[in-house]
Order: sequence, then C-alpha cells, then structure tokens
Amino acid sequence: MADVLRGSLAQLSLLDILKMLSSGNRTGRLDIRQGSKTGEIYLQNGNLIHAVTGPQIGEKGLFTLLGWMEGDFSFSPNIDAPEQSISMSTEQMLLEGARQAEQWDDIKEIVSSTDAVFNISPSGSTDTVSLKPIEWQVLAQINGERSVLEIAEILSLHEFDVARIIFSLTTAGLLHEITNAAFLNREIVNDEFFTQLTSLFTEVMGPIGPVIIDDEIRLLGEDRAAFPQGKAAELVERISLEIANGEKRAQFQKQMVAVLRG
Amino acid sequence: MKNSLLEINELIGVWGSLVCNNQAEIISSVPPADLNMAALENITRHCVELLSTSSVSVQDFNEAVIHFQQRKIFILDLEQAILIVLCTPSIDISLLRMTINVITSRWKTDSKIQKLFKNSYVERL
Repeated sequence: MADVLRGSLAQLSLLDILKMLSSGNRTGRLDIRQGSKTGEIYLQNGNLIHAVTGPQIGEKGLFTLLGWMEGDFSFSPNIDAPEQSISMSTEQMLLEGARQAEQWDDIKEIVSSTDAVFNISPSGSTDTVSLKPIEWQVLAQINGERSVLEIAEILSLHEFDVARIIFSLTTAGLLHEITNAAFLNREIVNDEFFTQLTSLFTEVMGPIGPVIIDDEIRLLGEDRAAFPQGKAAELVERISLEIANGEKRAQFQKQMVAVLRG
Repeated sequence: MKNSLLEINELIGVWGSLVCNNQAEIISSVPPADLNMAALENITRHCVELLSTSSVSVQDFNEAVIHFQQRKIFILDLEQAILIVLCTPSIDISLLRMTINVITSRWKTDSKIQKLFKNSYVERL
C-alpha cells in the first residue's frame, strides 16, 4: 500500500495536514514520528476517529500530537481505525487545534523549540509571583541543562503545557533561555560517516543511493553539513529500509553499525 | 546464543537481554546484574502477554518498545521465540534495532539455533 502523503512537520504543520485530509473526506491512518516517539491518527471519511501516542489516546493524544513542532508524517489510505476514541466533532477538534497553534506562535517568540534550555534568572522578578503547583513542578526541573522536551518527559506532561508554563515564567522574569544550548552542544557527525554511508549505500542501491540519503536527511529536518550524531543511527536505519533484499539490508546494517560504534 | 546476547549487551544503553519461548520460558539470558530471577521472569511474562495479545488484534505486530519503571523494553517476535532487551532510557533504538536485525539474520541461517527455537516453541491448541 503506497503512502499518498509523506513529509516533514517542519514544512507542513499537523493541523494543516489534518485540515487537508478532513476536507478531502479521506479515510486512513496518519503516522507521525518525532525521534523515538510515534503517534497515529485515524480518519474515516474526513472525520477524526482515533488518535494515540504512547499512553495517551483520543482527544488528549491528538492534542499532544498537535503540539509536535518537528518530526515526519506519512498518510496510508484506506486503513480503518482499530477503535473510536475521539468523541468531539472534527470541526471542534480542528478549531481547538487552531487555537492551540495560535498559542504556539506566541510561545515560540520565547520558547524557540522543544529543544530550548532555560535557567533560573539571577535577577528574578521585580513583582511578587505566585505559582500554581504545576508551575512549581516545572520550575523545579529547570537547571540550565534540561530541554523543554526532557522536562515534559520527566513530568509526564504534554510538551505544549510545559512550553506554555516556561513562557509565562520567562515573561514573569523568573527564567531566561540559554541561547540555542541544545543546538550548540550537540555533537556533529564527522565527514568519515557520510563518506562510508554514501559509499556502502551506493554499492547496494546504485547511483540513486546519494539521492535517497539526501532525501532522508531533509525529512529528518537536518543538514548534511551539521548532521547531529544523535540522529546518525536513525538516518542509517531509515535509508536501510529502502533495501528490499533482507540479506543485503542486514549486511549493510552490519557494516554501518560498525561505523557508528567506531 | 549467549554470545549474541552479549553482543547486544555491549551496546550503550542495554541493561540485559534474553530469549524466551511463547510460554515465557527463558531459553537463554544475559540479565542485568542487579535484577533477580523472579523479577526477570515477571517482566518476561508481561512482555510475552503483551506481544501475544497485541498480535491477535493488530496484523503484522511483531515488535514493541515499552516504558517500564523508567526503563525501556524492546520486544521482538522471532516467530518461534521472543527476544527481549532491557534498556536504559538513553538507548538509541535505531542502533539497537539494526544490531538486533544483524544478529537475528545470522540466527535464521544457524540450524542449531533454529532447532533450539523449534524445540522450545509450544504449539497452541
């Protein structure tokens, strides 16, 4: 079964994809992947029927997925939902999603991405600040090292909620962002990695090999010149899935696992 | 098989690994040093139950990554056996999956291992 729609959330937001599928009265499953996290949304004749990501299902799962700012998606048509977990109407869900997206736009002015890292502001706030328990829990996790995403995972909270709280704590003068900490600190793969990857993959796939590699780098929202070490194995795995022959795929993976493990 | 499990355990983020049959009976294991046998058997039973119930309701379901007490557990259905890898949250799942694919591809052509799996597999009535 061929995917009819595939791409990166950095280029097309999940809300836009859902609006498109809904207005086209589509039936099928939308798979979303952000690093090691995955989610599924099912539509039936354009109506949102079921959503799941990790332990969250239904409306909660869908709103969590709508908060993902990065990742990949693919839509597989004509797959029926295993269950119905969404009771709100699709129109209501999309309206709520749009409201959340608008809030994200404001939040992004301060919380640039879910990889952003914040620290306690030494000057503090000039006014008296009262915190709700959940805000205190988030504040207690801020240490100048943990990203928004990591804090959301530790507290088992939706990353949108954590970003919203960090936004309000920063606006109140309690926090400040450590500029692009995650980006600056991330380790980049060396040239040897891409030389080996291109050579071994081209050996199996022929001249189309480098094109597939570049496509997958783009789908991961990355750039070959500054490709993070943390996504190297994911890239290798994704491109290895293009090798139809299981034996050849395992051989390629064996060689690349050796490269990745140094 | 133990050598293969040791190979998996060498990966950063792997805490221990085992292979069991479809009745959750352990065939071979290199478990974490700080996990007792009862706990290991308990985890194995839950993993096999999860895999068997999920494969009934979801077609082609043969792999799962579950979060369990701040650990990640990778479960792979090998048709006549089940591979379970206990990991720390920092595990690189892609690297683990590829390492496992390399090893299980080797197992597929190893007649001794295939015979062991076949003999351990319990046919359902």
